[in-house]
Amino acid sequence: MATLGSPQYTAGMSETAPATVDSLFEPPVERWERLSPKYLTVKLISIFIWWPILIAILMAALWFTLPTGWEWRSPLLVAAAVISLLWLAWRAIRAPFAFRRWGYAERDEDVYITHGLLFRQLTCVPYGRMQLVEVQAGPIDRLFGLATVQMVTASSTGAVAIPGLDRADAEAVRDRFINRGKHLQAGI
Amino acid sequence: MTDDALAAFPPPTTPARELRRVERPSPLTGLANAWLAVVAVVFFGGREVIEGNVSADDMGGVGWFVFAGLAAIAVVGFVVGLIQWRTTTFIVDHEFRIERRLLSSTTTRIDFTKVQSVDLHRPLAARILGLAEVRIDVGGQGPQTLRFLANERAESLRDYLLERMDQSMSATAPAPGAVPMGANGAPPPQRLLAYRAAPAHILLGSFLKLGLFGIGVGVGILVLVVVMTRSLPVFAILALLGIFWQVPKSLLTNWDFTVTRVPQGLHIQRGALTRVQMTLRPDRVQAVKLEQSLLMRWAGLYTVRLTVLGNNALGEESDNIDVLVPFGKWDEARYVLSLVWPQVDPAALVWQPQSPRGRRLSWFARHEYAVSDDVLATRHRLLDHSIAIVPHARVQGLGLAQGPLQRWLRLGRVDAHTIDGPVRVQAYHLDTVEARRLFEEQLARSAAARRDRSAEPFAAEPAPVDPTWAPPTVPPAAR
Repeated sequence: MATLGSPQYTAGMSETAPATVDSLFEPPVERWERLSPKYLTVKLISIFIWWPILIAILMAALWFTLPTGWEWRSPLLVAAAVISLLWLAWRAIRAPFAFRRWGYAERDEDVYITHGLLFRQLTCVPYGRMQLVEVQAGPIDRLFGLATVQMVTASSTGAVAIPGLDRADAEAVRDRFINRGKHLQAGI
Repeated sequence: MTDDALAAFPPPTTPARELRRVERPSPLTGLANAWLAVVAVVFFGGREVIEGNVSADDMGGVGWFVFAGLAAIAVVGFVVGLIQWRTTTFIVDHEFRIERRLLSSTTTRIDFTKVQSVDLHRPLAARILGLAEVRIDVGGQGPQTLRFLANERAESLRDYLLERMDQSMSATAPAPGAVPMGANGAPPPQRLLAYRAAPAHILLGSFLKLGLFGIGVGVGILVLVVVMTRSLPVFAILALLGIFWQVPKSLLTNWDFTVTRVPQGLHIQRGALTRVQMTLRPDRVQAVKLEQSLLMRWAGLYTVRLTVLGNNALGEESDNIDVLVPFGKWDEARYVLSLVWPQVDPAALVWQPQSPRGRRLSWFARHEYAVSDDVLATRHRLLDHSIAIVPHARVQGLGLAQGPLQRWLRLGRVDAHTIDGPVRVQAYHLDTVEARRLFEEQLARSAAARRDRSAEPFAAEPAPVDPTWAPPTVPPAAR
């Protein structure tokens, strides 16, 4: 394993690792490094914050735009509410599975990142190609002490991020990437 | 304007060391500006008169009012040009500084290391007056423009900036594509016309580019109007002109398209009225695309486009800035591509088909990929054909992707990430095992190419230029 200084992940989430059985997305090393379990909580919290707000806006828009005397008004409103709640439930049910799909693996010259439930992706970014590595944390992330490592390459299609790492680990990951990148830096 | 491109760009006569002085744009700037405005006046005024003649009722004071207004704009243009000339100075020696003191004084200091490219633009008015606009792309926030300089000064400034850019690059890391400097510091200027697009191909291509759809709609409208009204009203002609405007536009943009080899790389010149000249540095080319629309396929014509580092900052006027061959036959495209990448020949690629199961998802199209010592390439053939090529050393990262249908059929897609531009390299619908193998192997190839920069296709000796190059009269043999 190329990873240093993140023992809690292998201890915490390795039991759920068999999520990737398919040969296309097999880890390049023994197994994927997983995200902090707290990230699932963060994800669920943000689902239950942002989707209700969006749903409320949608419902309000429907409430005020549908003509009051119209016979289809209440059925439409009920249908919209039911669909919205089903959507919210789907996002919540989906979250743990999507969470388990996240994984990354640091190698000597590059890092592999995989994610996606329905549309799966595996991206490999060589350290020498990283133009910028930053650590970001939103308000909910900060509450749980989490952060996202964002990697910027010269290609906008190749921009990838590892979300849901403990702040200290995220910073360690960033520093490792930058240090290895310095030695491997190649002209674009 | 139709004389030889070599004659149009004589070698710089001013030695670089004598440039240490404060300079101004050409005093003719005001005139050129006014001229550009007058062109606008004539264009709009003329259109007004024509339309006034067409519907004689409207022919009143309005047209003349507009005409007078635009004439005033011409005067304003002249005055603005004069003020620009009086208030703009620039200094080129060990540094490059542009100073503008109009209302607030602005000093722009351009670091030679930040210069991405230097292009010359010559609108018709400027060409007649022997002037050129120098555009210095510094990456990031759009180009710095100096308008207008005398042709000779614009060229020597361009050459000087490119030379300094080379020096500052080779100071940090030897640029593999750079021409070695002579003992006295400056390489002997060699300009060799390498390629001139055949006018017949540009003409044909400009029509075919419109596509079946455009021509069909245009002719359809014309026929419908003629049948229904049993006459040919002017508005129908105007509507047709609107649709077919793409043809003269493409014709004017790509007219007299030439590629000249110079010490800094390749000079690309094009345009009938506004003459655009770009300097292409082969080591900045990231990826190449050869494409042909359905109609161009029947004519055997290709358009070659490039993804070039630093081109994206040029803004909306950079229309067609990425074109290497506007319209050319297969062999022509191969030849011009060899000027950029001597070792890359798209005809020598061995194409690997997608998985037979992949045909179920794309029975209407054929997707293939090819790997050579230097490049990864993909080919997509539907109605339009396209070939995308990226050198291993230019791959920024790799991706694997799989959607639900692909998972059901055990397929995957491999993406080679290049810097943003017109070229996308994606190998569709490969068997999962093959996709993962291609992914891992490409990763190793790209890593090896990054370590060994001599593996880059442009590192070799520049390809021989064929001065007698003429497009083949016989269509090339089937690939």
